[in-house]
Amino acid sequence: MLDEEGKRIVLTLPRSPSAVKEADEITERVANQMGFDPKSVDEIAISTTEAVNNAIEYGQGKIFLSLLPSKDRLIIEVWDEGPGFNPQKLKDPASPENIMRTRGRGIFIMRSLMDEVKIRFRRGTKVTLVKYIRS
Amino acid sequence: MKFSYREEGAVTILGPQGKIMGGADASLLHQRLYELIDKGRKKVVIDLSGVDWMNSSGLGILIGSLISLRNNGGDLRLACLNERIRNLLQVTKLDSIFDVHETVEGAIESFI
Repeated sequence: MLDEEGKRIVLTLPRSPSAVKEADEITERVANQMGFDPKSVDEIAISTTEAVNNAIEYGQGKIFLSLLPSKDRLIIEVWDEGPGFNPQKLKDPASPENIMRTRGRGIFIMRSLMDEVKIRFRRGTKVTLVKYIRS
Repeated sequence: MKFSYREEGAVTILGPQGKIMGGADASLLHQRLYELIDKGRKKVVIDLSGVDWMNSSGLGILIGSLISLRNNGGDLRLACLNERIRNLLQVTKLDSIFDVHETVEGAIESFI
């Protein structure tokens, strides 16, 4: 679905593993069309799949994915209808006591790969990811 | 996720392909690993040359594989990581727990 300006893409994703693949495909397509370099395209796709994986695993209700391309940046939002969570309570996945845990690295990775990451956790969790195009 | 399989003496080499994003990928690889452990083949190399990228689910699969093998007296080596995956391991500090090799041959030799 496109908004009035014909730029914003909004998808409703299924609450299933297929959502991750769907999110990867649309995100890579948009990022490639915008002219991001291959490394940035991968970083955007990895981060988006992290946000969608978290929504599947910890959220509730529908999952929404929004992509808003502009001249100099791509803004991606992933949100759900669950109770939300407090990112302050996340453990540091790189600390020695957590290093062997098989989960809990998604937000850490998003923050490493994207230029901006915002997380709102009232009335469902909303993750906003921003990547700028390097000229 | 598709992956290749071959044996080199006591070492088994698994070669996943594409992107490792989670979901069914984890159960498939774990299932194959437990089959190997049951057969007594506990020295495993995961050849990542065919993997474009992975997310935290992919990292979780690798950690789970390492734990399963070590808990059963075996071990895991990683080989042929591209720059993206190598960077991901560095960022998450997982390069401190995985034994990483430039080549599959080097990974196999490290078991001897």
